This record gives sequence, C-alpha cells and structure tokens, in this order.
Amino acid sequence: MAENHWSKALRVARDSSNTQWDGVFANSVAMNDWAVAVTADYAALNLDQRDIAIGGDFELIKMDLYKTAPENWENIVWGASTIVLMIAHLMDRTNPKMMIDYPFPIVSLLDMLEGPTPTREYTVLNGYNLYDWEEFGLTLPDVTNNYSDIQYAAMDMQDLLDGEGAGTFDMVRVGPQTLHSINNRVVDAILGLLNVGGILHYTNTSRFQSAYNLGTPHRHPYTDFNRHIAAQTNFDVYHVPMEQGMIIAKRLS
Amino acid sequence: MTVRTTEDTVGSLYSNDAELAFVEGEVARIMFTAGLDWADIDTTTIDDIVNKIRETYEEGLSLVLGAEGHRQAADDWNFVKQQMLIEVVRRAWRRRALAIGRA
Repeated sequence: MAENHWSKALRVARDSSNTQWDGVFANSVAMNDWAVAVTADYAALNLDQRDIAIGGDFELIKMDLYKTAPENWENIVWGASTIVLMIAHLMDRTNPKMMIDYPFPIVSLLDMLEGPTPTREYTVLNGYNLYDWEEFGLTLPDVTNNYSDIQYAAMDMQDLLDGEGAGTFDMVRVGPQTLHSINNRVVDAILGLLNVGGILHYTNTSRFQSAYNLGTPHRHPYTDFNRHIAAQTNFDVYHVPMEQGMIIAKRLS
Repeated sequence: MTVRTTEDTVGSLYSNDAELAFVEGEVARIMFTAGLDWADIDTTTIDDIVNKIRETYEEGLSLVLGAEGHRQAADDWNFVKQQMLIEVVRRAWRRRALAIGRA
C-alpha cells in the first residue's frame, strides 16, 4: 500500500531530523509482524465494530491502521515518539521517572528500558496496550535478540486513582483513552503524579481536530477536559493545536 | 495491589483482573449516570447504554416557549454530557470485551 499523508509527512520530518535514533528507530518488518499479531488477536476476539459500539473514536478504530498499514507506517510511530524523546531529552534530568499508557516495540523506547541500569525509569499503566506490547512486542525476535534485560514497572488504574506514585514522576505521556472518565478524576490523578518541574504530554487533544473545527467548542466532549487542565493554577499549560493537538503542561509548584 | 516491576516477571506485568475490575467500574458508573443498573449487566448491550444516554441527556428538553431557534445553555450541557458519556462508555465497553476475551 502506498504512503498516506501521515506516513509521507512524517517520513520527510524524520529525514530532516537528526537524533540518535533516526537511523535505527524501527524495523519495518518487526513493526509489521507486531501489527499482524495484534490484529490477529483482536480478530479472534471478534470485537463489536458496529458504529453504535465504536463511533468514530480513533482508539476504537486504530486497528484499521494496523490491518491496512501504509508504506513506511513506522514513521507515524516515529512522529509520536519523537515528541516524547524531545521533551525527555530537553528536560535533561538524570534517570527520569516516566509514565506512559501506550508502549511500542521500538528502539527509542527499548534502549531506555535495557538494564542493568536503564537510562529512564518507565512505568506503564495497566491496560490493553500493555498487554499487546508484552504479548506481541517484547516477544518479537528483533526484541529478544537485541535486549536481554528489559526493565519497567506497571501500575493499575485503581492505584493511580488511589494516589500511588503521586509527586514522583518527571514526565507522563497519556492520551484521551486514559484521561477521559465520567469526570476529571483520572486527569487529576495524572496531574498529581508529576513532581515540581515535571511535564505532562497529553496527546490527541482534539479528536483529530474536530474540537478545533467545531464552531462551538464548548459542545465538544474533549473541551471540558482540556479546559480543566488549563485551569490548573500550579501548571503552565501549553495547548498546541497542530494535527491531532497536544497539551504540554509543566508543574510549577 | 502495588506497582509491579520486572525484577521477577519480565513481560507479564499486565493484570487482566485489575483491567476488568477498572473498566467494569467505569461501565457501572456510566450505567448509573444514565439511569441503568449494573445488576442488569448480563442482559445489557452497548446499544442499550448508548440509547439510554441519548434519552437521558437528550438535547432539546430545555427549549422554552419563545426560545425557538435558540439553543439554551442547559441544552448545550445535556449535549456535551451525552457525547462525553457515549465516548467514554464505548471505550470502556471495548476494553471490557478485550479483558473478558483474555480472561
């Protein structure tokens, strides 16, 4: 399949970047093997794909990307991961403690997890993304042949909501699939994880720009969550309305 | 349960029990918010929940005489709650299906 807009744009961006992982960021074959394994698992579970069950939410239809991966699609993953790498690098903290909700079997992450003393201390929120990564990502030959001492931690959502790890994380990267609940309880718990100077990287804050394109943004379901974050008095909150949108928020006190 | 590390269990930190407990809690809260009962979960479908949310948080209920053509703030509130609850319950429902499938 030909490149789509995303994989093409991010391939060009990757060609124009110069970071230590650009050359070996992701192996297309391994990424495709991973996508095929995850897709097969989801197919076996016979998930309800009707519109009333999934609507247009990316998190629920993203398996379409895996099933019909465009050429050079690993560049899409590169685009998402590069922002995490950039922020973590520019923070310039020694052995930073990171929380993520969506790990990929890519070099830039795996290098950070390899022992005996991992460069970054990663915790992954418990959930289906952790399952996919452990079950189909960490078992790839490209991973097992190159990494023998992967180290990370996992935290349950219940423990997050109970305040586990509050004030101890240097950076948290999550998406709406984690943050959105019936109220702001998860948002508050995520913000509470950060220490002073710590940074939240919240991705896809617009549901593919729909929150920006709507003439009445207060009627978009994402807006309340975004404004709740913007209202935090102990954070500098930068809402970046590019592509899917993102929030970068730094804890000040 | 405390935070788990890979010191003893590399590649198997995912907890299906914890995942199922969390997402079922999410679904139960939303069902209650919409006027449904978790006790009926075995006979409840995602269609039932989405349709009940649309019914409970129906846009247009607050229209008053003389305000035709104008949207009331309460209508906006109803609409955004409806959209938010549907989105959250769809995700939770799918996560629940995944966890049940992996139990």
